[in-house]
Amino acid sequence: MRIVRVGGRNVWRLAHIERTPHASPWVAEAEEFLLEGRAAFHLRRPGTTMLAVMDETFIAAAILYADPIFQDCNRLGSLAVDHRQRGRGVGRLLFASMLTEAFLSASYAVWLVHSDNAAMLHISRHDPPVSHESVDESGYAVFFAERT
Amino acid sequence: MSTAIVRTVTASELRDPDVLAEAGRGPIGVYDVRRQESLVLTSRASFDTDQRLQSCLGLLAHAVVELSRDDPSSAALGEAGYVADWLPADRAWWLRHFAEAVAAGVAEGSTEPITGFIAFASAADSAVPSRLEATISVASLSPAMAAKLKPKQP
Repeated sequence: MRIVRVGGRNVWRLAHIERTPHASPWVAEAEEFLLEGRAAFHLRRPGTTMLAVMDETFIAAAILYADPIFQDCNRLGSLAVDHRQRGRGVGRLLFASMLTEAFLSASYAVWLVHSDNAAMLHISRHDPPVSHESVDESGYAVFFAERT
Repeated sequence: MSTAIVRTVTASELRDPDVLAEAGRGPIGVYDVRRQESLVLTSRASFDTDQRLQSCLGLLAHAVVELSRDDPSSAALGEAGYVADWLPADRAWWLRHFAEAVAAGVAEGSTEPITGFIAFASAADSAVPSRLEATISVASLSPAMAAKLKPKQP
């Protein structure tokens, strides 16, 4: 497995990430955003980065962009892992890469995690140097990390 | 597959029908129309007979010309016509990445990278799900965190 940047030459491989069957609405929403092109709304803006995990083809992807609310802060947007690849540490690998990428251009990183996303909540609370955790108006857990 | 640079032309030279026809038979390159960077024409070895790939190459050549106009025609861009309504900076982004997709398609001998990019980018104007753009309330932050983060100016 290796991390690659997503651009014109390889964005077609996003179609190889299989969407979760019978997914919860919050999973389906994130997968649709990333895999069916709505992410291009952000991708065409300067400062946006999309990374993918390559293992013969794409098996996971995530997007990072300037936070719309705070200065000097990058938003770790949706992260999708092919449902057939879960349990291999793919999401953790990608998340760590996204966080590293976020701190290349900003002092803070923020991401939101649905309350039913146990794996991502665990990673968020144990892997990065989280500076702050709260709950937003829609019930998502909000995590901030600060560049050290 | 082997390719070789035949010659380079500028985007403005592509307005010449003869040059455009030549480019339609096989341009590969990454360029920026706004900076008038060169388009690289290459010789072709293995994709001459692939009509679908040929068509994509032709679309790239036409897109270089069309998207350099102030008011590009969506009809002239075929399945990529949605780009005509984009802002100039977004059109430049699209063209740069489309050129990369075409180069990847030629390298792989497949139209999948090209059609895949066109389809992906076509959704860029769709509304972003509101929950993915969730508003983070400053009031929900701890005093220490709120003191560090500065809201953007409206």
